[in-house]
Amino acid sequence: MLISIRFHGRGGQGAVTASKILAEAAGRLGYYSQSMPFFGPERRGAPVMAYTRISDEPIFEMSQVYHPNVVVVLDPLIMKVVDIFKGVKEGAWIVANTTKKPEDFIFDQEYLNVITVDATGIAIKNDLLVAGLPVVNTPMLGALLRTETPVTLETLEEIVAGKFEEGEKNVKAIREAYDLAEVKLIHGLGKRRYPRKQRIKVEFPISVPAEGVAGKTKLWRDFRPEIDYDSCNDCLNCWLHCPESAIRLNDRVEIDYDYCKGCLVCVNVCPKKAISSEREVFVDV
Amino acid sequence: MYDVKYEVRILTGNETAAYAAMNSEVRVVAAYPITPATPVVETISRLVEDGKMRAKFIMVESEHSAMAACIGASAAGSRTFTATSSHGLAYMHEMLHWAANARTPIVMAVANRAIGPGWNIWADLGDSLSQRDTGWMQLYCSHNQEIYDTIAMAYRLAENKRILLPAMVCYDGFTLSHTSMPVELTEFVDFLPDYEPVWMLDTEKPFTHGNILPPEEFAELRHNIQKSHDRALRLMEKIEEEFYEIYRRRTPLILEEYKVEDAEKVIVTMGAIGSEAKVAADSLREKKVKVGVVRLKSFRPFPEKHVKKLLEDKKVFVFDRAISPGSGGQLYQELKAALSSTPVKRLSPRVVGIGGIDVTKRTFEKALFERKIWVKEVVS
Amino acid sequence: MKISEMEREEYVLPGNTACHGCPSTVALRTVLKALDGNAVLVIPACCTSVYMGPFPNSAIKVPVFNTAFASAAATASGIKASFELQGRDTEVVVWAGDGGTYDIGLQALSGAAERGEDIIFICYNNEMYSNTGVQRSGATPYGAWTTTTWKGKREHKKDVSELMLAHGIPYVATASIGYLRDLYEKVRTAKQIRGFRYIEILAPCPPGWRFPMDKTIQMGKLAVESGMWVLFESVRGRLRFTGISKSIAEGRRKMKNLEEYLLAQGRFSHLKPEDVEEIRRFVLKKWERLAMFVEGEVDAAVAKFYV
Repeated sequence: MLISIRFHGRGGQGAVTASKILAEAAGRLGYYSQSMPFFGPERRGAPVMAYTRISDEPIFEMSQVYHPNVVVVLDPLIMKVVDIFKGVKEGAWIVANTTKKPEDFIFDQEYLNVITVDATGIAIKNDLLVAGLPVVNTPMLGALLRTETPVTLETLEEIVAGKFEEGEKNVKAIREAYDLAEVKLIHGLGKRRYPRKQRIKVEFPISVPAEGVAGKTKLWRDFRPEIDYDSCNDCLNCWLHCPESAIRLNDRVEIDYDYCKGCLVCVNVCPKKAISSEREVFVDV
Repeated sequence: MYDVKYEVRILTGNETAAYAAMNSEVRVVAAYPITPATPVVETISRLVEDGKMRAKFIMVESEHSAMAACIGASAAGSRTFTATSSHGLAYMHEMLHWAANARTPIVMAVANRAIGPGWNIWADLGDSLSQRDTGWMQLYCSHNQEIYDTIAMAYRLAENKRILLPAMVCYDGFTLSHTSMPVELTEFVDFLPDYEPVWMLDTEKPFTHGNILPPEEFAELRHNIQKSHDRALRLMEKIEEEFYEIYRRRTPLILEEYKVEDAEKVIVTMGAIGSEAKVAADSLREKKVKVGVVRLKSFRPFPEKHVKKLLEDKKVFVFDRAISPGSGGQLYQELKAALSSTPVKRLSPRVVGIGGIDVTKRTFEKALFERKIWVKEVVS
Repeated sequence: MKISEMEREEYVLPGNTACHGCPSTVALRTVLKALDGNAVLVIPACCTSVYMGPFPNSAIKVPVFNTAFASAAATASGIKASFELQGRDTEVVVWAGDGGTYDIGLQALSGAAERGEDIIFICYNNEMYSNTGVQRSGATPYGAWTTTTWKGKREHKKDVSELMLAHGIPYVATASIGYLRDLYEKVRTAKQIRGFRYIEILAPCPPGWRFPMDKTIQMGKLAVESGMWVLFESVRGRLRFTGISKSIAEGRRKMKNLEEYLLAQGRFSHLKPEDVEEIRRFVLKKWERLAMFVEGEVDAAVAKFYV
């Protein structure tokens, strides 16, 4: 038996940690396990992946997971930029942090087992926050246990309680997510998928300048700055200090919301206090 | 007798390299002194200060910086040159990889010398052979005229639009670097055009060189470098011919064969001892032993097809002037691999001249008839 | 000068992979504007070499030549030599972190400075090896936490800007991202001078120093206001303080409490009072040393080491 799990998240949400905790839990129960991050530089808010393998025999695969049995999506925003269904076979499990229902999921596979839970809501309700942001990886691990993954709630809670300062809150969130998760077999479109890769010719290691080398980095925003033009006096301090070059000089200063990462440096440098900030709310799946 | 059509001077190998760089219209030199290559640096310094060589000479503070500066100058569009040896070559190892991957057609003179400790300043090919994986082309010379010609030919090779790889021109330390021989200082105007960079740093068309390259693209870049080496072998044949047409001088780029056709025993080797081997071959032929010599000029790219053709059905003795501990002489290893599907009557390794032990014709005679692999003394 | 007079074109493009509130992008934006984009950047391994993004694109709109960690100043020397031969007046600018300046890059930097290469070497100093996580560098201050100094660094940092003064080069300046107009003017001044020019910019790094990402500029100001970072400019050997540091040096302004600066950063959260004292002593000594360089003359009364 070999189960492979792929975690999708945004940098800082603990996808890698979740992958490790799962591997550790499986290890405690006597399974062979592996946890690997997708190798690449991680930045807060940027899409990241991590993989876990669990087997009752020694695991010899050292490559990344391309055909997961379980896909865990820590942030609904991820589905807008990453194809979380890639490589997933019929009958596999999708565990998603969302306020939507399993029936709302559309995919090419013939059928998948879909689990949905509002892990963000559970985290906020249990005051499970770090630096003001909800901790979703632990409740999602709770929801993950509703799949055929051979890890028990007790083992998971044992590890989490020992690992984190707010151990109790985490354990509570895990239980709640486990209980509240909705599980359903969903039928998909039954389409064949033929992935094609664009090959770029490489003669020299030379690149051309372009915006958005990391994609539309608006995805990285947790907070959104807004300029109050009634107070703004066009001093251009926000433009000068923006680390992202995301403030444009049009007729007036304008924030480019495609790229603004929500660092809020502009809020602090504006001498007129004309920039305010609030929680970014993206429309999720 | 010498046909004194062009200027002929009696020059050491090092001086020859400096004059070759001058007559190849090199524009930027960045170099650091190290025995036994130091005179190259000193000669170029004089030539530049006297106004004879139109180049900028950056007297860097280390060999690593020397190669870095060469890469920079080449990337900015100038024909670039440097010279080093032994520890200096090892110090710039990281940048050697950089120069090849960056596709900068730099030419470097290497006066082969052993790497310590203990300090050993004498001839040993281990320094350049240790760099055989860096992507550089490697050409081994056996006399000073050859050093002169090869440097110009190396620029033709390196700057070719379908090759664009750096090349090192190697010659035995002291044996060649400090020995004086007559060298005809031909001008290369008809043979070596001005450098026309395929790519260079330009504010009009800004690009970024060398940023992150993901796995699949990196693999393609590396594959292209291998393909360029393959193309280099074919180009070498053409350049040899062209050089002969213009200058009536046969300077090999791939290999030199001496009395191989009817030979029973063939000595395969590189560098100055390849010249000595020819004397040994003649001497042994007087004693009725039919010996021939294949002196490999190009070690990278390794001329597999050429050696297979020449060595079929021969008794082959490979003379290495270096050693890769744990495996053996590097030339022997690579030749063995190249000949793996070629029927030879015998393929035997020999290790001579390590750390500068002088190699005479008697060394060859002794090594051919004794069973030992290593010869660790001067046989006079 | 007014912000509205600054070059408007953007040479650092948005949507790159730099962290939120990164001081390096802030500084690079200003530097490239001050150079009117007429520059070639030589970038050794550092955060910038990563945040410009992967092939086939790059977030920087001037020519960039990436190079190996130790070799930035040497590579730049080669490029400049070639440009001079071709009659091109483009500035060749090294853009390096403190790793590629203070430690592994120091040899090449010193060599190029001593040779008087006509390049601008700019170090954006976040006082640690940021790109590989948060490891200590020669620029890491006493007591700072890093992943290779878990209990706090036991050695004081060295100061390469002072080292550059000792090289006798025509332009040495320090700057901070808390004062971008000061930085802009210093780069413009450097542009007018020929020879080796060195500028070191303090770049407080939110994840490395552990402070909220929106406080980057404030931290750059606080470092200067507390006297821990000194703004100065030395033109052909004549040194003068600039900005807030000038006010402090002339006694017109008191240094802010050092604790205010140190304890705003998580990397100093475990400092004991004796550690703070040690740092205070170090800062005062630095001011004394720099004061001796002002006007290019050594004040014999202050110089205790003359026999």
